[in-house]
Amino acid sequence: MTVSDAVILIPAQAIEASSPCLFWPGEPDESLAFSLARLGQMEPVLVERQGEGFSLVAGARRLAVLTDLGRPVLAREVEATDLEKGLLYLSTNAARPLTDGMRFAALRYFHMLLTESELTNFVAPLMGLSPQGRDIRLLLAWFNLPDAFDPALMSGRLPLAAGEPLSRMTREEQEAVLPFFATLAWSRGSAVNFLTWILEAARAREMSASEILAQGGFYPILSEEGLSPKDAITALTALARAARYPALFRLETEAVRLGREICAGTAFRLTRPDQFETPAVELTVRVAGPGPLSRATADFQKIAASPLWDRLFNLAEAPAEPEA
Amino acid sequence: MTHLPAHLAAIEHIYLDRSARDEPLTARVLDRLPGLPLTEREDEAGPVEHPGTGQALWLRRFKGRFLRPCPGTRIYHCCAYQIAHIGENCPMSCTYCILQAYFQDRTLKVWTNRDDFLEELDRTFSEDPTRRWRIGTGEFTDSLALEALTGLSGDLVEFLGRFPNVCLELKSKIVDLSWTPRVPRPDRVLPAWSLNAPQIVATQEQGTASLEERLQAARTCADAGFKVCLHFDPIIHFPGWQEGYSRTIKMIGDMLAPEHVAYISLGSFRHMPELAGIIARRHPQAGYVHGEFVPGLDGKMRLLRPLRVEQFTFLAARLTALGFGPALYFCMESDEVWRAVLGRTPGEFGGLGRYLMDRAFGGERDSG
Ligand code: SF4
Repeated sequence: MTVSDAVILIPAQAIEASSPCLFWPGEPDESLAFSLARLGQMEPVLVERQGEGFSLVAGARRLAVLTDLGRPVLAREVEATDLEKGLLYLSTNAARPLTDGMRFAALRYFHMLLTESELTNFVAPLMGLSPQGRDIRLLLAWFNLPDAFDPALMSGRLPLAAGEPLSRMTREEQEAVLPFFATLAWSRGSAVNFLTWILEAARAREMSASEILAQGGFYPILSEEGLSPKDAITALTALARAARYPALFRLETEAVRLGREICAGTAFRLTRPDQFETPAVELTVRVAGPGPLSRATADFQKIAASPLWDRLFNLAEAPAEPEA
Repeated sequence: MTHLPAHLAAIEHIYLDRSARDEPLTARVLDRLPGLPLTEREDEAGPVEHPGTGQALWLRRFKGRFLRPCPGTRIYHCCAYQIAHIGENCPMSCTYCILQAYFQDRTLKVWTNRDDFLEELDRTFSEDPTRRWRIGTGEFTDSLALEALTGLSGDLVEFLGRFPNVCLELKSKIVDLSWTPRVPRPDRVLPAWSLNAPQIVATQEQGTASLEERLQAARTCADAGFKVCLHFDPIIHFPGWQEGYSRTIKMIGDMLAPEHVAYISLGSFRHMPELAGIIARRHPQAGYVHGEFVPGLDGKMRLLRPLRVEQFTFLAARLTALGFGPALYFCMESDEVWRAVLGRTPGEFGGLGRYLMDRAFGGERDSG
């Protein structure tokens, strides 16, 4: 590889910025635009000759700002292989805060050029990852997923950790969950829970995740009008938990309903601490003085007289109803 | 070379601690496994790390207490028997096996200092000849899995002939009746087999005997004057469990009569939280591990109580209809479950340990 010592000045229009080695495209931030406008270009971009013009190797955001400003670009010429161009781009952008999506985009570029062990041992550390760490393992495992998942990861809608439950699914199951990541942006916890619960519900019932999703009313949530993305994710996650723990979910729902009715109009809260392993309930109230204390005492009398206690205590005493 | 049963075929290497070299049990095992590579090692060399894909057998002396109480809990009623510790690990591979969480390795460990073992038992059981004991060897290994190599159960039943106050349970998933001719008192030995639904035996209990073989062996023992024990443990919640367990119960009814049976345990699959991950990783076919498990009051994961009660009720009703009702008990269950399924709690009949002791001793009531 050679990088020329000389710095040349070329019109921005003469530089083509579409090389695959520019794997982290992005809008320039305001501070870069401000600095280039006020102070001028301190660092030359890297270009390689391409016919009559040039192809950009590193410096895409500077080039974009200078193009907007209508200014020529300071550049150094390089002659490099694809691998070297990727490494040049990586090292000149190493200071940027990296997301999992950006790391995956870089690995996707290098994937054709290096072995997995080279990716792990040489490229991962350049992106702040430990070769022994879980993230590089998950990133490499992502290559086994259908390409259709890549945009969701690279845009940050789908967290890297979701790759673990996804990789345990069959191809058909992966395709079945794909629509849930087409537009919704998931947090790590929600995505992992959602996928894991769907997968485990399927395995426990000797069904496929696709069948669980189709029968469980998941897809209509995606097109439900008036539902915010956050509410859609909450609804999907709740549905997945209900699919994973159907009997527990039914008991919890009924216990919460009865508890609310029993405690209605009082400051008490009712919970079942033993996950239905015993009939025990816990009643809690917070009091901060003699007045609230005597009110709580009266409330307690009222609660104790509720006719719903029998139903609450007997909720888990009957054998489970067969699943609908 | 002795013909080895199929479940021992994967043993490919023997490791022998120097201090175990001259033990008679070592000589017996080596005699029954001629031609296998053998590595002698210092006692202090640390755990065996066998590099092969097959199984390793480690002959060593055991320095701790051989007899110890089964670890019960306050909340869930334990059957209160004593574990006689004869070795660790098992050549079979049940997906749900608790030993996967107990032990890091799969090395089969055989304690060769049999005389120390028998001396400890002698001391303990002689101390008060009126005190009755129920003991079993099937806690950290299958009672009979290595019998073809060690003959230890044969030695043990012969030795225990001197102690009418001791009842020994030999719990297994294979069939090895080689020890039976050495039993002086069949009424003091309880051959026991774990049973499950046929689908579970076929898909989750690799290397074990078929249900038919287990029940046929139980019948052979019953005909020879033994009372047998049956253990539905772990009962697994899987699609089609009703039909599966019905078939097994029908097979029991076809093979055994109530008077052949000392007791039948019902135990739902329960596990330390970390075992679920191990099972899911090692045995992807074990879908049951994703059932509705919640933390129990002892910290172990248990199937949600109404689901357990549903399964127990189903099994208990069918076993009761065949006359096995009085033999039933639950392994590690709460009063709530006992009451919901059998309509009684152990406290109401003098405690589970005592009840099982009476049944183990053929209905003889404890005088103490
Ligand atoms: S037979 Fe018993 S000890 Fe052996 S693997 Fe199966 S459960 Fe574990």
